[in-house]
Amino acid sequence: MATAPAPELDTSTLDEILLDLAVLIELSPHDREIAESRYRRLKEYVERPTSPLRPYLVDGESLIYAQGSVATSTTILSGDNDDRFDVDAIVEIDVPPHWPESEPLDQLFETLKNFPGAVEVVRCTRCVQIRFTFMHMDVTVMDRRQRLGGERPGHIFHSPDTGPAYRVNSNPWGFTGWFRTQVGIGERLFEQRLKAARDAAGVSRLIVLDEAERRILADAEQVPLPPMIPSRIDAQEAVALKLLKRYLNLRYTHSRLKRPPSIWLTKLTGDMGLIQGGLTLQLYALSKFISDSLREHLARRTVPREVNPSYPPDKINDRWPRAWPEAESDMTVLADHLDLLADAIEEMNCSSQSAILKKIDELFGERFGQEERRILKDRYDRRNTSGGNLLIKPGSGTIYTPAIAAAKQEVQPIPQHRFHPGRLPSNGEASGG
Amino acid sequence: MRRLWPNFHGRRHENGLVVWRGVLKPRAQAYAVNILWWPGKIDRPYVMIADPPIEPPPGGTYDQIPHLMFDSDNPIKSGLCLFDPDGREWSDADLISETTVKWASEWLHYYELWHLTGEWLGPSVGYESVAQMNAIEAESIRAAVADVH
Repeated sequence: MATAPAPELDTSTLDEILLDLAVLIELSPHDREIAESRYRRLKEYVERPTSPLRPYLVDGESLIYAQGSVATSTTILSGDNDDRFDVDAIVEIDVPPHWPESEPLDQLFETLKNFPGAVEVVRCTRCVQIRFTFMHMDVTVMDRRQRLGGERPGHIFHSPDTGPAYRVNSNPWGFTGWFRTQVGIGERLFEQRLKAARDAAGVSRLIVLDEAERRILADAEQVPLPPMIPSRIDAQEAVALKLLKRYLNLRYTHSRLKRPPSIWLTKLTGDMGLIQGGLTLQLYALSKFISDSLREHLARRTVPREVNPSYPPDKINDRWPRAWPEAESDMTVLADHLDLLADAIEEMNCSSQSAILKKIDELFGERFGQEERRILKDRYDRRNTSGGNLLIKPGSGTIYTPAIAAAKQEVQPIPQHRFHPGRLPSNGEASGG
Repeated sequence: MRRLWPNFHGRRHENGLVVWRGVLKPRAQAYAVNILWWPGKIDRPYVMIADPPIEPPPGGTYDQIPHLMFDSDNPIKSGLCLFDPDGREWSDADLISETTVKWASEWLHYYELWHLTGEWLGPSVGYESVAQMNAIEAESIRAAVADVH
């Protein structure tokens, strides 16, 4: 019996499936509009006449902006079964010199504790979390009184339940700008593919809270306002990071260990840059890039300490990993998870579609695996003629839909035909028709 | 064939049987495929999947696999039923490289999707029209299948 040779490095099938998954876990354009309206509402609320923070706003206006994943276009659904997005905001104020270090967060909590439409408002160690249905907004207060040079650096406040509060150097505005200059350069073809995937697989999850939010959305349609969320980045690097974060979120859901900070993963994504050849290779390379780096640290008994490229005093992973000896388990577990992902990618890239989807269930959650089954079924269903002919690549025989093959010049149409059931008469059976 | 499918290698046997062996990779999985054509002996190319072999779903049987030229005597060597013989979709004037190979790859794609979804999503004729092959032709196919080992 002939044996199938090792497949050539064609990742188009896995690229297609991973792109669908990324679209399923991201903020849809509608979700982004609603998130944007909540940033506007935060600004209105912090500036209201009775706001405890109002006297400390810079020039009487709050400087509020998106930070973290929503600013780098890498926000994803949290958890396994929870349709929830976590977004982050910065509120810049001039903190009076006489305030103790816990006071800014206390005042922020007082300001936001009755936020309209919120299910709950919680004071955390470094932020105040406003919990909406399907969305959490972490609001961090930043002191810019010192007017440090650079792209809006300042101090945020670490204020635990026990122990002293202290200031932390931070520059999320600069970090966002740095990341956005690192990724997405010359990726027009990828943008086209991502758009096609969004058209096929995008899901909106956020719902309008109330009339006030509806008004903000309507106003934004009438009078274009400067965006509070930076525009979406349709970059392969950012999409790979979304998938990596989703994979790691599931790995750490029931772990006693703390997951690595998202900003650290984002920094490494920017450092690695674009990998030519598609999303599969980008995700594989990112996994190996981080895991190899961790293995080096493990061998040297050091820990990675990344700084914000736009403001080096901002130590972006100051709380992960822990110092040695605990660092060993933090880094080993993460490196093992990443290596497993890389191995799974290699395996999937030469597997049948049913085997790939079984693996997708394990890696990214069964609910998205089920969604992807539905997407593939809709995309390739040719039981009636309305779907248009599939295309094929001579040489390999790889099958594409016209939408996915748009940029592939070498494909050909498959001649029209209908598969047909048939049977051979068994030995000794009378001849058939 | 060589222009479109350079990894397919053909061999003409002394008895007139032509066998092409090659690899198709409709999606991520690669399949070794044998195509048999025996002018005057069989009326359509006979395509078999050599490796990995076709399989029924877990707990199922080979006769559940849609669109086979099902051979109950040797199910794993059943051929693929790629066109409607009553629909004039193929004649021996058509190039195998332009039709049979492309349809075989498409068949494999839908076979995978069938395993994934439980439904045959490709263009097809229903089971009310099962193509039968006469015993003489079936004998030729079995002889050819035995010959390719």
